[in-house]
Amino acid sequence: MTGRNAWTVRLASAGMGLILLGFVVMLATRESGTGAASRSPLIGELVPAVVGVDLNGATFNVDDFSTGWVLINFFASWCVPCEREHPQLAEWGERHKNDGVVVSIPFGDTEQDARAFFAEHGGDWPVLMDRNAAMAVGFGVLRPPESFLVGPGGIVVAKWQGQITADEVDRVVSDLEGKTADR
Amino acid sequence: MKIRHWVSWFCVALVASLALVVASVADDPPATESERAYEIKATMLCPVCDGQNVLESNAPVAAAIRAQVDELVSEGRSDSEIRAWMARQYGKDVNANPPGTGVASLVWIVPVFVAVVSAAFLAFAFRKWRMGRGTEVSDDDLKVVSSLREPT
Repeated sequence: MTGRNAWTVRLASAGMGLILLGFVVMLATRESGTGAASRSPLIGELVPAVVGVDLNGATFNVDDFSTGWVLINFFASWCVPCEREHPQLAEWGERHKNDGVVVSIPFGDTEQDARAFFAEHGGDWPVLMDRNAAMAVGFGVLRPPESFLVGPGGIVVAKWQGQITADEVDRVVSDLEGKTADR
Repeated sequence: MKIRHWVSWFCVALVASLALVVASVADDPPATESERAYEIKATMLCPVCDGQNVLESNAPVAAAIRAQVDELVSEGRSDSEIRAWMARQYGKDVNANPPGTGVASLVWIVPVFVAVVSAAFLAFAFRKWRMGRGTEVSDDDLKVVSSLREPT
């Protein structure tokens, strides 16, 4: 191999190496694709529309509860963590019967199964069927259970993915009420 | 001879260009709302699956996205509005087609760049080989060849 050819090969190899290095750096420093699973662009924003007729035929509109707390829970009858957290939702609803409301929205479930779930596990709060999945997509729900806490004023203040407890939700409520009292 | 050679190359380039133009023009826009919704769903990834689009996936979130795409298309929302909304809700990776701006645009640019460079390299190599064929054979070359061909 002549000296000129050797230099051409070295230059080409160095160029290819630089391109590969660039790709590695780009992949290593890019934003993770799973970011949407742990963060929600809704936090700090006005709550998306949660409107409908519940399983008992009563009309529900989240805007009617803008002076209190609203715990929006996406669940499914086939989801084991949803079943486990159900008593905690009832507990939170009981604690906040004067200043809050729980609303459940079946996700990936039928109305018949949602009715059977509530008949078996109890719960007298509104359950709204999500026609055309507008509410699930509006909240960016990935898999049940997912819960969103809406504060007074209609602002989404917290999101939980997975099973929640009444104490967990109340920690956020107390924290925000404390901050409001400090002002 | 030389003119005929260039004419054949010109014909190859012409056919390749025509094929590209016809292929891009033949990609007609969807005729109906359901066709448009289908195209959007086919290029939208299920956010909880590995590489499946929302048409193929059985995940509840995929069903939710499908239902919402149908709804938004029937409301008359444009493709870009629907894609932007889904990207806001589920992250930009929900769109299978990378955007034409930013670092992701390299996905579109790099293949074209590599194709052009490869074509230039091949043209250069063919030219070099052809020129090499016309080299005079020296007496030394003949001696080397005959020494190699002599039976041992």
